[in-house]
Amino acid sequence: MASTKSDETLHDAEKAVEARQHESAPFDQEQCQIPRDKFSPPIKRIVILLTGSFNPVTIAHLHMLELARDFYHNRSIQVLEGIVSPVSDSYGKAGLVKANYRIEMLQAALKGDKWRRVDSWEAEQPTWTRTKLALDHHQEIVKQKYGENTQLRYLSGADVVRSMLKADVWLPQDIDDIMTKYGVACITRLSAPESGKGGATTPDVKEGMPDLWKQNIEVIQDWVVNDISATNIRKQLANGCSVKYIVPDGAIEVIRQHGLYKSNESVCLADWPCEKSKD
Amino acid sequence: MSLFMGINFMLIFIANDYADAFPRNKIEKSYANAKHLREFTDQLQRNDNTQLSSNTISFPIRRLVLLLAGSFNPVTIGHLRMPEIARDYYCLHSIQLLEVIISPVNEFYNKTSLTPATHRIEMLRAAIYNDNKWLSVDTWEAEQPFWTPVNLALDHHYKIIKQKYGEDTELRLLAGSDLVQEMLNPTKWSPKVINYIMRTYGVTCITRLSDTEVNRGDSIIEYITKEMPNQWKQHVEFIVDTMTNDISSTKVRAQLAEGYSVKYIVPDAAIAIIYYYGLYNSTAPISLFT
Repeated sequence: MASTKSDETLHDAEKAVEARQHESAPFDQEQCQIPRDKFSPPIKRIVILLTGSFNPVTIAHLHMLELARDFYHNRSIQVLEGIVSPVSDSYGKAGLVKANYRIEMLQAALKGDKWRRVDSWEAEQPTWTRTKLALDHHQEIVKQKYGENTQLRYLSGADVVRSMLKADVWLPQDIDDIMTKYGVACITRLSAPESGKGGATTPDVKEGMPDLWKQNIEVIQDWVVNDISATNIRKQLANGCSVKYIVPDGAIEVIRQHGLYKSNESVCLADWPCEKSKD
Repeated sequence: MSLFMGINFMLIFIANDYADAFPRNKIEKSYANAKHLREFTDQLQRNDNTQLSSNTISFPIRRLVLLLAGSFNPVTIGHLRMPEIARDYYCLHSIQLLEVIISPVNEFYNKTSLTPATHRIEMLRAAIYNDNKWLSVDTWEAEQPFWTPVNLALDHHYKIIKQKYGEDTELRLLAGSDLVQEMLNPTKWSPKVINYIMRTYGVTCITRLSDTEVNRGDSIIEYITKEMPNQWKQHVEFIVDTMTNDISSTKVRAQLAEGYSVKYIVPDAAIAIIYYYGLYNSTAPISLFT
């Protein structure tokens, strides 16, 4: 995999190391155990792809992108773009509202955003798209836009990554491709435990995984405790309860406008008239 | 005959005990006829049930205003979520929540990294800019020259509220579990003051299912009420927040100091103010798009 560009970079790195160590022993080729053609190319810029049903979009989803961007910027890797790709209707999950509404909610939530955008390619496909195919599709576009050295990274939560161990959810060759070509950024949540189970423990996401996967999964720890679940939110909306500050304001407007998730079937408690002062 | 007279005397004794319930002529008629003894005792019981004196029957609350107290250092969506959760809770109990008054604590509360009240108030005002129909920021507590426990703020607002909404409106203190725990600490808050707050106003505490810092797996509600004297327990209402689970302001400040993003944790308008003044040693996150 040694391209001329990698060779140049390594040559520069060698020179830098030599310059620093000019007082100590010079760099000894034989001491370096790893052959040069096995060095991975240094990644300097990435684009993140986040998939999911977004039924509805919540601040937890958007917070994942912020966390990932901070993580990579901290490691001198530039995050150029965050692509949010809602799943197509043919995913077949009960309660999944139409793709055009979900895209509308996402667009309202990401209005005016400078580095994130909603992509409707996956939603437009006639059948459900395997994640690997979505990544392949976007990699093409990313390479055209930003150049050959830009990697596409798959962002997901710990539950999705754990599901990779189940044979019936993922194709094994798909996972190997995703791991080697793209890499996975996995956000682990701090969850307030149920009473009686002791303090918060973060279970090891990579437990039981083959080494190839372990090397290519980057675990990003969330620092906020939250248990936001879309099921809970849909229940709240059906009861007329408030989801403000859990679902972005723009998305709430879209939900109310179209009456999604049965939000118009019961009185929205936010609309109850306040008694004015007695005049 | 003597047995009959004995029963009559017994009935007189019983009837005299309930003399307030029964006018004299009814008692005389009732025990004169033994056949109606059963009706007599039934009626006695029915009247007895309604004889709770008015100061033991609880007052039906229909209208409520909440005072949300805290340091708001900085304001987070966890704070802003509390009025929403409270409103849903009370509406489901047929109580109308008219207003939530947000009252940031005074600077001299002596917490380590409490930014000046002006900044905290500014962040709060910016955060609730779009929601000002029923939320308002009150500066009375912050303006005082020294720290006052929140009962003074409650007293101050109670008069205003009664004028605004009528005599039947209740005022309650809304707080997170951390503030309630602090209030139970006798070195900071005097138990007399807490007693007054509990009995005059009442406390609504929004909490998580369990507390990670406690690390014992106890429910936070059990943890708080264990330390609480019994007279106060009936005045505290717990609402469990199953979604945001308490966002720690300490962690938010740590993230800001390291230059990490707190978007979606702190309201956008408040973040703009934080970066503008450089509060909490914040530096704007590394961005390509300035």
